[in-house]
Amino acid sequence: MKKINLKITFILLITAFAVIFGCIKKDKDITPNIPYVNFESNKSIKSLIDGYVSGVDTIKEDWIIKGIVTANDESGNFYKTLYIQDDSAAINIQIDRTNMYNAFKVGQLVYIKLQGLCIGSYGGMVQIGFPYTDAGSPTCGRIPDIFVDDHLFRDDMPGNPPAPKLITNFNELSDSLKGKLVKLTGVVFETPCEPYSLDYSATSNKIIDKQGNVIELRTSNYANFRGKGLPIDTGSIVGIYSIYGTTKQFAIRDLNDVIFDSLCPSSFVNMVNESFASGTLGVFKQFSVLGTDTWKYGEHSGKYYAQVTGYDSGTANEDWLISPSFNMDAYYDESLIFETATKYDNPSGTLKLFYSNDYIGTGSPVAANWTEITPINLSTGNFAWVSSGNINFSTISGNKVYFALTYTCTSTNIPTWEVTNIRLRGKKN
Amino acid sequence: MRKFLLIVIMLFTTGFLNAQVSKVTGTVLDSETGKPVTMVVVSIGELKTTTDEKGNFELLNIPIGNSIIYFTNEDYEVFTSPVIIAEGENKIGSVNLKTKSTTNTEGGGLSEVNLSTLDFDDDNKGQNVSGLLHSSNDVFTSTASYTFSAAYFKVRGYDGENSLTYMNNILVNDAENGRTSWSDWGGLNEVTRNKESINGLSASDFSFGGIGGVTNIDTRASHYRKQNKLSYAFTNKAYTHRVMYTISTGLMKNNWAFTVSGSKRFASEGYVQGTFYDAYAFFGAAEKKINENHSIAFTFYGAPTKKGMQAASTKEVYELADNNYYNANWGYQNGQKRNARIKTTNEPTFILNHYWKIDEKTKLTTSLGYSFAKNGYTAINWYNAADPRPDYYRYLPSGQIYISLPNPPDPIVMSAITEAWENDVNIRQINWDRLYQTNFNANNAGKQAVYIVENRHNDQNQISFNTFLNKEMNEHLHITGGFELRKFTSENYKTIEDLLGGQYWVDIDQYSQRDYASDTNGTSIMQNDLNNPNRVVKEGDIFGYNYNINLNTGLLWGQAEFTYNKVDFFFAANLSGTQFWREGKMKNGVNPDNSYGNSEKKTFVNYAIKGGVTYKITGHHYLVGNLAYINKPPLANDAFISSRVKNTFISGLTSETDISGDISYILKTPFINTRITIFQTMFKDQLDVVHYYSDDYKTYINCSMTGVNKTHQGFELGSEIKATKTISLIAVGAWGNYRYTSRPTATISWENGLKPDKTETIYTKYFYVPGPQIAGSFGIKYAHPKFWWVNVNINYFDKMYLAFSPVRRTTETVTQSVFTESEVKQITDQEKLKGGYTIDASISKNIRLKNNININLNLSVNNILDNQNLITGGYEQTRESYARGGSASLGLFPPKYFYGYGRSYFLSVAFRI
Repeated sequence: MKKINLKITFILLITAFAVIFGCIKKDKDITPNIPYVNFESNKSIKSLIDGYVSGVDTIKEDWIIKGIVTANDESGNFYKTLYIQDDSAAINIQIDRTNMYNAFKVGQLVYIKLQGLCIGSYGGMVQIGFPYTDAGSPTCGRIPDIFVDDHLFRDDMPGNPPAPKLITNFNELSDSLKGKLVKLTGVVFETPCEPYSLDYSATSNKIIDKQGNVIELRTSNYANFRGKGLPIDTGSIVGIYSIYGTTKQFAIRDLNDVIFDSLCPSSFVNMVNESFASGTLGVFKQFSVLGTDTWKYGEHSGKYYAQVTGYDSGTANEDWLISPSFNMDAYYDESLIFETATKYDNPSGTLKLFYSNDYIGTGSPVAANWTEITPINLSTGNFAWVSSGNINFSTISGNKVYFALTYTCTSTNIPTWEVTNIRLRGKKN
Repeated sequence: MRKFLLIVIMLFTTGFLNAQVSKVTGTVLDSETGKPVTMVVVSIGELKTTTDEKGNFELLNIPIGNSIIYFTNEDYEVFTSPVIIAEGENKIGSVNLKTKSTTNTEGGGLSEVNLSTLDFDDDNKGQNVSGLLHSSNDVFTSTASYTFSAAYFKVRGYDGENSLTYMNNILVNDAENGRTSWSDWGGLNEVTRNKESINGLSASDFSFGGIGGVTNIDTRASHYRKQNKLSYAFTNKAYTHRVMYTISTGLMKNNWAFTVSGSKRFASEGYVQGTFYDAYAFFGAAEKKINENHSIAFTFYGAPTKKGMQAASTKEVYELADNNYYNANWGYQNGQKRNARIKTTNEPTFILNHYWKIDEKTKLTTSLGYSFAKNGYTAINWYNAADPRPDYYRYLPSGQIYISLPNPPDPIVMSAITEAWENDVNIRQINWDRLYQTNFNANNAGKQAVYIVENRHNDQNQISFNTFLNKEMNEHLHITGGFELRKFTSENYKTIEDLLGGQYWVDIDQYSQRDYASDTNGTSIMQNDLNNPNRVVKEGDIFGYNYNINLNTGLLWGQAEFTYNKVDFFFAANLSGTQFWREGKMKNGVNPDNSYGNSEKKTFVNYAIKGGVTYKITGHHYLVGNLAYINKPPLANDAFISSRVKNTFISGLTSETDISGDISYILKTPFINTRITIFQTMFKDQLDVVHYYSDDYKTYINCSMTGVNKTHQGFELGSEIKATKTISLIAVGAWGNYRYTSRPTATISWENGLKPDKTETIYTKYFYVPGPQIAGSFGIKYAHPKFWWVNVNINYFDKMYLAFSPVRRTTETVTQSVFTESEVKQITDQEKLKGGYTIDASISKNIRLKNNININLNLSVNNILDNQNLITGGYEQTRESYARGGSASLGLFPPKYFYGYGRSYFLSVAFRI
């Protein structure tokens, strides 16, 4: 009996000990708090901008401005930039952070302690940043992540952003509106159904007001709506007005800013959209009718393309860049668009566009019947990229249509051609 | 405790006649309890007897003169002693045998001490222990499995899949990755101590085995000594407290035997900061001896464990934190440390055995096992937000160098970041508060949670069957044969563990959403589950990926062992069939045609043969040689390009072929026990898959390699010398040369499908297999007759190379910029880690109280000199920025390391009745 008691006591003691130490606590919840600011602003954005002269202006005074966030990086259209606006003016802040929209939502009131920051100018737009002294000459660059919370302070939860200024004539867009939220009404797009931006570079699309004035809509190739098509009819568009040098520019936050009746029908599709970014000729094939040189893939400064030149062999060449086949009868309102660049010798007439209904799909194109499409808008030299514009393909029918770009050169006239962003678009039947 | 018995007993009997023979008598006792031990086989030469219930024995007709007397019993260490036999009765007196368990009490036993050093971030690491719990007779293997495990030494450099582990004849190696998870019975040291272990290629009588050997843990209730034991331990390793209780009845008069054991191990913070430990273990075994020929045994056990894990970090981070045990996985939440990466494991297992002694020379052992596992591993996930990990490269001073390329970084910014890292714990660790605040903002905008904690599950279900027959054909030939079957399924999916105050999460792939934004099919490509697009999920819901791996395997094997006076030899062969396939439960948007439903079913038929010879030069000197040719199926884990999202197998999926041989010289005298071995193993056609996220291309990239060949060659030396009757010296050394011997072919596949798959050659010929290839230990063991023991050893580890990223050794990578030859060398060379030494010591004491209570006290201290600079693991980062930064970017993403524990201790007290 004694033995058992001893045992039991031991067991109980140790178990109790174990239980006491063993209770691992569940994580207690965190109560989020609403941010608040206990100081006041002492300067207006307008007086800050007016006080800026040139270069990099580091702020030594204890100035505090405040404004409401009008644009952030949520859609990807604005990169490492916040726009704020108060009653007097608007300004943007360059910040080295991504996904800032999580904390700085449109409509969020922000106070900025400017001491230690700088003001600079980019293309005529004044911006707030952080002074760097790269290799001697100072720049006003993005505020480093580590310092952001020392300067930017949110007050309260996000509310309503300021009402955008209504604009019906682009001539009303004055310097006092730079960086502000405006709403352009009664406008059309010059190239409806074009994508907001190509995948590989930021894109400008022209907006035209009732008076015929033009402004550029600038969209980043990182915007998550970039693939959508520009609307067809007349409508309104909200966004941030800015300038770049002498060019007036406009940028939207997301597609909610685009208020039109007829958006581009989703049935408008790219039958082919070849940017040659895969490092090959993609869906295109090449065939050399004459000479040893061929179309091949090339890349320069991040732009990919198909290129051809007779320079390597120095002899006459005829090389075809042939598309895959398309069922043109399944679509209507088709158009082809591509970009070209050229240099050396006399390029005129050395690049041509053809289409065929009876090419067999492989091997030499010579046996088939090809019809030339002319005139086409091509680059004239110096490797300057030129868009062909919309080439009308709506009259071409057939269920197995191929198109091709042909390059011909002689042994004495050897230009180089580069082609990319070849898109054949149409609306599905 | 080995006493050096020098017996000179002259007992004069009557009879000056030709009394050429005489007898030897004595009593065998347990060195700890002093109780007599029965069933001990006592032998001199060919003559054998066994001790009775009182531990007494009597050997008759022993030749006069010098002999060696052997005492053997499964539960105890073999004891030998030279004797000089005189005429008449030679009374040896009492012989104290040491239980096998006693050696293992130092440091608390092998199971969990090994585990405590393995609580690391890498899934594989946690199971990669060389848990070679071999018979402590072989001083090399017992040192390698305990002392060397602190540096992650692997015997012969073999991966865990080469050593098989059985639990009462049920194979417990993981069906997907081939390794043994010792944590599945962590905390059950007492009841997993009885084992039969075969080293390397030698023959076992229960399995064909593997190149690294095979172990069977014996959990038959009747084999546990009758005991009632309670122990408490206090330590500063992975856990702080351990309570263990075991009660065994042993085989009772009614022919039943029961054993129950349970334990709890816990720590609110282990050795590494921010790591907690919360583990239970339970075990039950019952056996009924139906009659002399039949016994039925049943075992069940499980070890539910939950622990916070450590992340590997770069040297820069360890220096900023001024601590080699910095852990990026935790942060303060309401003043408590919260770890983002919590690993939970539990694999309850049920085993039924039938032991049938068909006749004196034949026995049939049949086993049926069922186990199910619930494993999970949490991590933070985020949607279009700043990386929450404090050591994300952009938050470090070195990140500024990268960001500013090609210009130098701004010194003001650099010093501000460095100061913040050193002084602000919310920058140095996870800022949970900010994560909750961000979700709160999102809630107000009606948007989904930005930050969540998800739990990645691997739940398993397995039925196994094993039967084998042992038959002694005649005195020279012993044959064994049997077959094993296994049916396995794993369910792999992730769930939302904690919304961190958010309202919901939308199940899409944010990377595809971004990449295919301009694609007309973008909204379907970004779906994780096309059958449930844009599904709103909350805590507990499955999302992201969901697939099963099914695997069936059968193995038939046979073995013949021949025993002769001078030589023993054996042959064994096996034939196996394995089939596995993936069953997708979600139709993935990037792979809509080959993600949902069953993949192709791959079948492999494999075979293996091995053989060995033991030449007994004399009773003391042996020469052993073994050779094996093994053809094995690929592991399911290596067979798929990206099992999370598609059914596609890697190209070139094939079985591997291994050839291995070893030669050993063994010397066994009462003074010296030594083994010297030389070995070589060639692995051919192994596979490997590496998954990583590429910052430059912003997608997950899978690199699957075929044609991986390795050669492991080396020496092993293990020696135990009895210097005096109380002091033993041990010397153990391993020298290895483990190298990759081929240039594997890799298929590099972008998970977002934006680029076609590419084939590359990986230039890693003659690279070193990671892990210490040189290890040595010198130790002194002192055993005092009054039941206390002291042990000191000094250990050295060297020739350690870091695990490398295969993608760095491709032409594509080194041609991303123009590099000089020495720069290319810097990119592609394999890093050698610095070796080091440690000193361990332990002291134990046994106290026997009057009412038969036995108290064992043990204190062991590891790494007394607190060497905190021994790198025990790590990996190269796959991220690089050569395209953008050229030469200036060399060394920008350095490797991440784990350091071995500094000085640690283990204090335990055990009561046994």
